[in-house]
Amino acid sequence: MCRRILPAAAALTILASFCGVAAAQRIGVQEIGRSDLEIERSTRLPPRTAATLSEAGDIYAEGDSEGAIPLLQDVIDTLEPLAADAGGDRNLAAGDPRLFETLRTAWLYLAAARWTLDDREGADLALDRIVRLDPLFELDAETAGRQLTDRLQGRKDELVGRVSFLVTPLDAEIRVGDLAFENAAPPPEPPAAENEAGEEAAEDGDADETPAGEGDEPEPFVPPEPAPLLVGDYLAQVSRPGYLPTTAAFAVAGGTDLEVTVELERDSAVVKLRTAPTGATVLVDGIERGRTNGQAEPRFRPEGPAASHPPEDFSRELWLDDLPPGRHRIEIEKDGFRSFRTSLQIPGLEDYELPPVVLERQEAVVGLVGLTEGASVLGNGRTLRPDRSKSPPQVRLPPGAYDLSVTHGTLGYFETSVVAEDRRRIDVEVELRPALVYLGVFGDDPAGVRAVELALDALRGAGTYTVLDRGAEGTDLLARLGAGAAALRDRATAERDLDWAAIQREVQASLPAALYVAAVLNDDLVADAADLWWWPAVPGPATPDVRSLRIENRRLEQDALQRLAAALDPDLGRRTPRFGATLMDSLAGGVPVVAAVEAGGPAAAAGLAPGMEVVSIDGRPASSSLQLTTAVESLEPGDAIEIATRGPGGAAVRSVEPEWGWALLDTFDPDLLPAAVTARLHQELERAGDIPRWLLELELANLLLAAGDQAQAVRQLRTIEAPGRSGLGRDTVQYLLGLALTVLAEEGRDEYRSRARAVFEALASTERGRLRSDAGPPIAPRARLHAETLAGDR
Amino acid sequence: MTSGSPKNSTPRHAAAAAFGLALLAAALPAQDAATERETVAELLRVLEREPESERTPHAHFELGDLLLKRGDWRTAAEHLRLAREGALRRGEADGDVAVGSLERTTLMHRLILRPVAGQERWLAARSYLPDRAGIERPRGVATGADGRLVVTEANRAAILDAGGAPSAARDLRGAVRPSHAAAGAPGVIAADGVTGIEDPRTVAFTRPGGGDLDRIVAAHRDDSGAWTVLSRRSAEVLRFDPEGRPLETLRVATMTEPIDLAVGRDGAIHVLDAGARSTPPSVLRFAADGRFEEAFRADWRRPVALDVDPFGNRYVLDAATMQVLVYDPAAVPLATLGPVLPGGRELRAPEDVAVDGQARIFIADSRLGDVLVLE
Repeated sequence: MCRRILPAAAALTILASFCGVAAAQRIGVQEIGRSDLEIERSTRLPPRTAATLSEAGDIYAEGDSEGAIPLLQDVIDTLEPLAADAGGDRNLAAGDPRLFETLRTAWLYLAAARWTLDDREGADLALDRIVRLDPLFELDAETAGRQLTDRLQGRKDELVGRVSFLVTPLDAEIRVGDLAFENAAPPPEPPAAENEAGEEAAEDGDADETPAGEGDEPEPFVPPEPAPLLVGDYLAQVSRPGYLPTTAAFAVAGGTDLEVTVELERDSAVVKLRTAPTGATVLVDGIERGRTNGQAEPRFRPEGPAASHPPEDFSRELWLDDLPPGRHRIEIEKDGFRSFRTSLQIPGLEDYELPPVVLERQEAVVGLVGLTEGASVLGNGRTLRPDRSKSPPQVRLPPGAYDLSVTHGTLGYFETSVVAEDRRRIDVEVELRPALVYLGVFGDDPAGVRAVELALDALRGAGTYTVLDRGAEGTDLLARLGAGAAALRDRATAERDLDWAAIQREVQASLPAALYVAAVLNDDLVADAADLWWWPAVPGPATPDVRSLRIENRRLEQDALQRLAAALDPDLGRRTPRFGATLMDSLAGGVPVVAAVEAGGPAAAAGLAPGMEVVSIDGRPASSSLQLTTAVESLEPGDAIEIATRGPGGAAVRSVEPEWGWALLDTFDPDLLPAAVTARLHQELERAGDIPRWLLELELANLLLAAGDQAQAVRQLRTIEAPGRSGLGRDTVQYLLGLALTVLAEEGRDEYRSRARAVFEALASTERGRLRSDAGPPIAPRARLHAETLAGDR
Repeated sequence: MTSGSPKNSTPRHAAAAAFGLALLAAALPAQDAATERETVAELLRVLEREPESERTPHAHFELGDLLLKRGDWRTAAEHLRLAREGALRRGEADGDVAVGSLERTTLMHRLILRPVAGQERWLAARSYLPDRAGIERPRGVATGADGRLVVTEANRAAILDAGGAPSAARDLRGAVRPSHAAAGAPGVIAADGVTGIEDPRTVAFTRPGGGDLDRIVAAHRDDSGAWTVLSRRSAEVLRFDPEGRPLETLRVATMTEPIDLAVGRDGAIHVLDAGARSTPPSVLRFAADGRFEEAFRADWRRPVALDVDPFGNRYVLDAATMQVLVYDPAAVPLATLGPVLPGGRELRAPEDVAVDGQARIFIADSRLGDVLVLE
């Protein structure tokens, strides 16, 4: 033990009283008082005791030693039981230093008071108590006075001896009671030709903790000071892993120095190891023997294969003892990490140090087949970064169960669950489907809510979208954005007044998807209908599509629901047959007559000519042009239609095989869900499939036009690079542009009138362009009419 | 006889009612250009900005009709086809749109496509007047807006429905010839004015100088009820309000003895002037606003009746040669029919001619005691 207790503030008070300096007295009182403040906050010292001690000090300083004694005795009587409760004087000094110092100061005042009253025996009793309290306590003779200082030293010589321990091995632990002592045995002298051996030891990472790179000369050994102990008999406990623990008995005599020599007997080998990370369980021969913990000492530097690992990741050294010579199996385990296993041959009873053990994380590989460039991958909600240099792209994961999801803008969403095992690779086929996020249902009728939730199954069953239920967060989000139950139930106002563009952006930012749907029950108690609000990811029509469905038998009406499910997969890139001739009914002939034939078209190729009367269509007597229209509508690619004619050139039967061309979606089709179409269009645009990009863009512009978003439609149309072709194409784009500009002009933006007119006038003589489909109405006549109406306006 | 053109106004009115807009104006001959542009804009709006509805066939019909009037028959054919097919799909085969469209496409077939295909416009004639009508010596004939035919003789008038069956008849002393009404019930010209067949009320006309107008030889009532009348009293075309009060008088110096008139779909007034000794017969045309436009004459010997088809082609009946002579709007001869008609029927004493919306020609022949229809 080497703790030193320095003279306390109370000693100054003693000094002052002995010198009779008023100023010093005053200082002494203030010092005690200041201590009181801290005592009250930090110890079990009763407050009044401190005041009593202060008062005693004042009385003593005034020269009334006799008057001070009862007060001091009162303080001592109060504090000694508390000191006894503390479990001994050393514990008191460590655990409650203020109480300790107050008690010691009280005894010191008492010793001084007894001394001044010439009560030598009483003074010695007090000094003895001080020595027992603090064997190292000293008084400064110049300030405390020679007599009292000498008297205290005399008592210490009689009551205190000093002891040193000389123990082998040097790193053994030495304890007397609960006190630890340092070993005073010097290290062994290095061997004579020992330079090389010393170097080897350093290279081996021997237990010597000398940091690498320090001076070549070891510091000279300085033994610790002998530790003071009160006179008496003691037992020293000496132990060290790998050795039999020993108890050494010794007796301390006053004023003498004692050396206690102990040599432990080796009884097993010791293996020392560290792990990174810390917290690993170590098993020897299958039996758990310990757990690494703590952090490596600052000067620890990993070597060997672990050299590149951060030192701070390593644990403190774990010592494993009780290991007999022979082969042992070491296993180190930690959750989430691969187990480390090694076999260790222990030749003798020595210490062995394993190289630092770096545990590898357990890892599984998930191959993502078909992962598109630009797609992002989440595993249990965390972003994963696939290694795209691998084929298929791979993500490495700790073993476990994962909900994997892949998103790629509006192109699609994919999710699956996998169980990843360490050192195993699982390949997952990524099938991107656009995400349809269900944002929940507004309304409290449980049956209505259930009906809406059941409807989600129908939408899932359509297989077009990955339906993601985000009901809880969706309704909260919409409500925050002002699109709550009350707002949405007033449908017309909500459609008109809510800032849907902002709502779309916010929802998309929080819950990325291609398409969104939210439901609103028409009543909180007994709902008999639900409005489904649909909108696509931006950019798209700014106003949601609303479909009202009745609730019948606790379900949304099934027919309407099925139509909705079907509407999720619109027929983009629809093809339509072109017959190439116009038939019209006539009473003059009693049968339809060929009115016009497109040059170079299928009908012309089959020999049809204006004025021919159509006697039969596909073998059935012809009575109306509607028969031909219906027959053409029901054709499949490759089919032909038989037309029997009379008139110029006589009777003939002609086979007409229509040409198949593109057709735009009918934006007025009540079963069309523009939001779903927009979502699919964006998907197709990203996918770059078989449908020409210009046609997809034209569809989108057509939707915007139908939705009344003329400004956005104009912007969209101006970016389309459509080819000049017969049928849909550049002329169609221009025509729709003219229409959009016309509507803008009608809405009061008169500057667009002349632009619209110019567009239509330019189309007035086109011979190739058509509306709606490759078989649709020619553009030129309509353009002429539009140009005419615009010319006359204003 | 004159009856003016088959304006077929009923579908127009129905369409106008359906739209609740100014489509009536579009159908009227005298509408101004601004109104027509407005109408076109509205029709395009229906076709391009509205979902398919009952308005769609109507809009196709109106637009087709308009284009046909303008001569763009190919585009018109497509719209009329869509109009008719739309109506048929809606189960409205007998509705105004289906019937009106069919009438116009038939007209196009007869007058445009048959010649294009190298065929005659009229292929055969047949008897049209049933015995049940009670008319023995028909002397006057006029087509109605709704396909009805009015036939008169000296003391009787009868109405045949669109299928040729008699639907009404009235004994009427002093019947001159039928009057035509662009809308409403047909009438008959009598000594003191125009009287109805189904509704026997008579409209008398007040001469501009005062007194009742007599010796009326032709009359036409337009959609608004106003009358255009010819009288042998003066070589003038007179216009009257629905109550018979005079509005205006149209005259040209060359007109000597007008004996028949017809009003075209465009509102133009066509007048047959029998001429005088020094003035050969002629056909004169006044624009809808009364402005004289042109006159033409041909080698007619005794022209007695005139009618005009929806394309503005003129049909002149020459009683002396027993021929119907057809001229296009530029007075270019298109056809000469009679006295032996296609199919072999021969005219004996033709006294009046009328053309319907399909360009079928009806000839009243008193000696045959029949009305023949050329189809």
